[in-house]
Amino acid sequence: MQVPLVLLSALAVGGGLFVFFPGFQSLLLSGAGASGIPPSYGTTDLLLSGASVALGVGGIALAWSLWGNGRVFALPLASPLQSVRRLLLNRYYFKVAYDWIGLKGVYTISRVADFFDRYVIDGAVHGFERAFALASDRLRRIQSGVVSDYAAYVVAGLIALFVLLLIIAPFLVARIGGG
Amino acid sequence: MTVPLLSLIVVSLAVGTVGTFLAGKWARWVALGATVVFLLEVAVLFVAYPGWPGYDSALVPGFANGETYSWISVTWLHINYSVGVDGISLVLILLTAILQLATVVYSWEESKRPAAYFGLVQLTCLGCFGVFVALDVLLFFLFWEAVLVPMFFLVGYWGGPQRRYAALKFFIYTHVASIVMLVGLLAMAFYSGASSFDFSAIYASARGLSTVVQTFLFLALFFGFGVKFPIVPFHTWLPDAHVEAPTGGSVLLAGLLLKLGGYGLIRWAVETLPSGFHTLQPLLYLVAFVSIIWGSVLSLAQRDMKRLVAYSSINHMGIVLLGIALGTSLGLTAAVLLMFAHGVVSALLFMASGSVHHTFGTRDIPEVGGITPTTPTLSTLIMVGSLASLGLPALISFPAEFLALLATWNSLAYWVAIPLAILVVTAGFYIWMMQRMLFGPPKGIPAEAHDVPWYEGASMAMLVVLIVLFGILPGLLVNVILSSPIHGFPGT
Amino acid sequence: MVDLASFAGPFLPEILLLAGTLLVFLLDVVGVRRIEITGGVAVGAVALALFFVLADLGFAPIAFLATVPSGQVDQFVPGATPLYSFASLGFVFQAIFLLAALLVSLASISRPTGERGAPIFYGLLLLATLGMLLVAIASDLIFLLLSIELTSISTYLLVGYTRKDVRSLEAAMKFYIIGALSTTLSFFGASLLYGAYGTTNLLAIRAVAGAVGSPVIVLLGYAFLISGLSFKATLVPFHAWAVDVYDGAPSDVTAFLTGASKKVGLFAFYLVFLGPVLFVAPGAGGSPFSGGVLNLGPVVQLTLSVLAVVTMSVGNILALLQKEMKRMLAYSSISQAGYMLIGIAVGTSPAIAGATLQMFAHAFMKTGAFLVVAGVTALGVGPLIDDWKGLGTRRPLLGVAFGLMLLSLAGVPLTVGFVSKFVLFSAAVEAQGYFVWLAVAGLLNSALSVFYYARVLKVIFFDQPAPTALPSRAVVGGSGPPALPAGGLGYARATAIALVAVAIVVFGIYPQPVLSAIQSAAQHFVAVGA
Repeated sequence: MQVPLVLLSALAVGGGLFVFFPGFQSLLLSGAGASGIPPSYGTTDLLLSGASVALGVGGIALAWSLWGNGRVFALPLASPLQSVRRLLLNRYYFKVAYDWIGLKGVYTISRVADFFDRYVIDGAVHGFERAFALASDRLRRIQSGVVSDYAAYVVAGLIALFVLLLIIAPFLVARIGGG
Repeated sequence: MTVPLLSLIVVSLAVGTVGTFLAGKWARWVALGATVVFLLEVAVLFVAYPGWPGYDSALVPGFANGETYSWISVTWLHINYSVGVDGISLVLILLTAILQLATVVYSWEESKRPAAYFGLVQLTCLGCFGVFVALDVLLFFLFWEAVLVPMFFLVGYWGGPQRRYAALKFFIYTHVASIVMLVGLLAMAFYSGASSFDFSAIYASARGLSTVVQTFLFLALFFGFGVKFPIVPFHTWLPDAHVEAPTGGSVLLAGLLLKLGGYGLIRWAVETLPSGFHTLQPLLYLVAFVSIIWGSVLSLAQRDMKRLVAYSSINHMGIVLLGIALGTSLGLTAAVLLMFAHGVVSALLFMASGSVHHTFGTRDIPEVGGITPTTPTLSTLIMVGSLASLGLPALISFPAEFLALLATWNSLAYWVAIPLAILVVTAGFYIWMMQRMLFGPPKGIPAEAHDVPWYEGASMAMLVVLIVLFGILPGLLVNVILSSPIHGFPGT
Repeated sequence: MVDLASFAGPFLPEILLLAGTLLVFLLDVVGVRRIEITGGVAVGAVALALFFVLADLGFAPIAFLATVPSGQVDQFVPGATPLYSFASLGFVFQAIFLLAALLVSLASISRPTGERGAPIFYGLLLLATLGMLLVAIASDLIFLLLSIELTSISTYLLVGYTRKDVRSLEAAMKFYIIGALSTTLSFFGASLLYGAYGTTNLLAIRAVAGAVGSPVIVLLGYAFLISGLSFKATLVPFHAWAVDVYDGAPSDVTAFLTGASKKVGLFAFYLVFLGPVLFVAPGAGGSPFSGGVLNLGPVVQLTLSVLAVVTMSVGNILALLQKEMKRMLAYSSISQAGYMLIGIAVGTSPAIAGATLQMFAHAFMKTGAFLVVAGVTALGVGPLIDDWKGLGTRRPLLGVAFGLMLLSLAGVPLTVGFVSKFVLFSAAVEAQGYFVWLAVAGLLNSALSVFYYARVLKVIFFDQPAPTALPSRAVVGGSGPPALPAGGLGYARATAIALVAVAIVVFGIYPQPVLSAIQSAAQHFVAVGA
């Protein structure tokens, strides 16, 4: 597990360093296309990058001054900095916040959404399926196997054709003007 | 270009497929050989691609390696076998070749009818390749549908316990979508009075259609391509198909099939119907945002690792749709790059979850824990995949998502907060998954569990190499994408 | 010789079939009843007839053998009222009919030995095909209806020819009764039209139809005629007989009914409606009762469109839940008739070409499917779809061939069924107007149809075979039916099935020769007398 972590951190450090080279954007988009990419790395970027790197370096320096060379440092119990220590010990309460927002909040929403996905959306699809199945089942009953029924369907079809050809179709054609 | 390189690839893929079907116990070797040939041909294609130094975008619609032969020609219907590539298709072709290799190697010890399995894998890749090079409506649709059938069999025969249901659902869902898409394509060809079904003819005439007609056509095409994406709410085929599909099937499904939707939307709808696209842009934004949120939030609720990755695919493809919907050259570039990134990363994650299933007998995240000491290689691979998927810098998804967010910022300003906020959720469910599975006290590890076999490890390692390589040097791909004249868009 | 040859020459295919029929019955009388001989005669007669029809169609290498002088094809003398005439579209249909007959007669040679009635079967098959060839050249309503009747009576008998099977006999009776009713309706319609037009000649009707004085009688006549012809074409709601008959008839006969006989009804629609009705210059419009000159073409187009949508939808919905293979295929066949009717309703030359191509494709795929059913039934497999479990694993080749037919029926690319649907629906979109919605309805229906075809594929390829379902190769001939070569199918049937499978793929990939022949025939058909 250590090796990949080291590799990743090396990549992160190496990748970050590219910010200081003007060629960063050409690494992303070299050649003709680069001109189409708007961000240009001016003073603001340099300031921001410098500040964050300075913060990191400052942190390392502070830790060195406190614990470097095997020194032992313990914050006095009465120190007003105890609250800062607690904050740091709890990692800015990020984990608690994550757990609360993530596990309680978003996860609950997720479960509701999952239910919606599985039962409502899929249910609608299945409902569609069932409607066709029902129609199929109903229609199947007209296939009675009795010849006189079939003859009756022919006559019914004939009458429907009368209505269609003599009344409905001329009306519609007059309205929509044919093909 | 005098060598019909693209047809050569189609033929070699077809020969490889047939050969694999007939090869019996040698099937995997034939499949591997055909795949290597495919990769070499794609390499030649890259080298021969004229778009390298600075592509002449006046060549609208300039495609490299173009070939056209009359196929069906009667008075009113002119269908050609027309193929060609531009930068967008080239990147996706590369993805196809990579994933074919990864799938074949990963499935090396497939014991259930291996000849048919490897044959169907190759047929799927052939279909995808065809979709990416086809420049004729019928040819495009033919390859598009040709992907469906082998995938139906891959899921239905080699899949999990609910495979038959999942295969049917997949087939029907995507087939209905294809049909709507076909109506849209046909109407586009006939209503515009294009002289043939060729992309160039349709491109030349469809842009002249009235906005109303373009809007209707775009809507039909958007639905057709959107189901493949998949867009919410037409996505429910995806988790089922993924969970039941064999690992190789999942890899192709997420890695390639979803890309067909994105590619189709760019090539056959956005480029050809600009007014329709602009009218429907708000709808596209809406769908993209909903898909981004929905996919991510639902991932969090999943216990099954494969289902989790499947839902995260919906999220990622939502960002792809967002990139396309922006309608800028930058957004489109980001979308294509993200398609490539997602293809490689989701393939890795699906393979990893397949390996988890082989090793521990379950993919249920709460059932397994602390697997790192037992299976260090697999754990590392899962970690790289997850980190890549959540967009860690120096891995491939980062430049893609970065460009997508940048493009969103350029066009939509503060709306970028939505995908940004969702990135946190995405990071959350991947980290939570890693926390539960990889670390912590060991749980649910069978005594005989051992690390992944060489072929699974090798195929995943290959993907890791690519993830890192293109993560550091995304310009390699971006250059290719930008070399295509991304038709009809302003420069930013 | 000269006179006889010039008169008889154009009828060479018909004469070949008649001679074949007589020879089959003659052999029966002299005691030669071996199915190989009788079947061989029938196959030979049909194949020769098909050869000459293809020559008539002008396919390059054999065009010089054409029996009809090219000056007589697609040529019409204004004012003439011939009983028959030669149109290239008619030749296309003759080819389709002969193709289906050829496949059926070839496959039927491989039946379990000992089954009697081969001479009757082949004689009736040839006679029915003869009737179809005559339908294809008819240019007079009465000649058309009589030719249909020749086909119909032969097929009534074909359905019940085994004489012992109660189900077949019942099916034959139903077929006959509904058929007789439909014939009556057709002739009544024809007499009404005669009353209105003063002629039964279809070319003459075209000349006068634009200015008909009594539109109500004309429309009544067409209503009767549509219902009569819809029986043959199995359009809803005139289809109910078809399911029982397709199910009850011996499967080889069903293959012939759906592959050829159904298209007789649809080609009759071509003859009766396309020339005399649709291409007539439109009148003023308005209600037929108001006495104005009727806009006959659009009215009939709309009616046929409704019929098409109803037919394909009802056929598909009914097929969804069918548990028996033959009934499922029967309903699918009904819905296919709906697709074909789209082409007739649209009525442009691309649409006619599309519908014709669809019939060409259907002649392969549905005929082939029922030939497979007959073969598989002979292996002892039951009628339910679930009884087919394991076909794909136990008989991979047969499974793949049948799978191809189903995929083609569903319209999956690289099959001829896809090309035909593509051309047909493209033509509907090309015609624009409300016909686009016909294409949408057709496409949605074919999406619906995928559901039941895919289910069969699932059963065949994915489901574990039931222990009793399909005997494996080694078991055939053990205690079951007598063994046939070629995996129990017999060489002839296996050849026919293989031919169908190859044709589905070949025409699916390279349809150009067939399509261009059909398209030019359709254009000639539209251009006649225009």
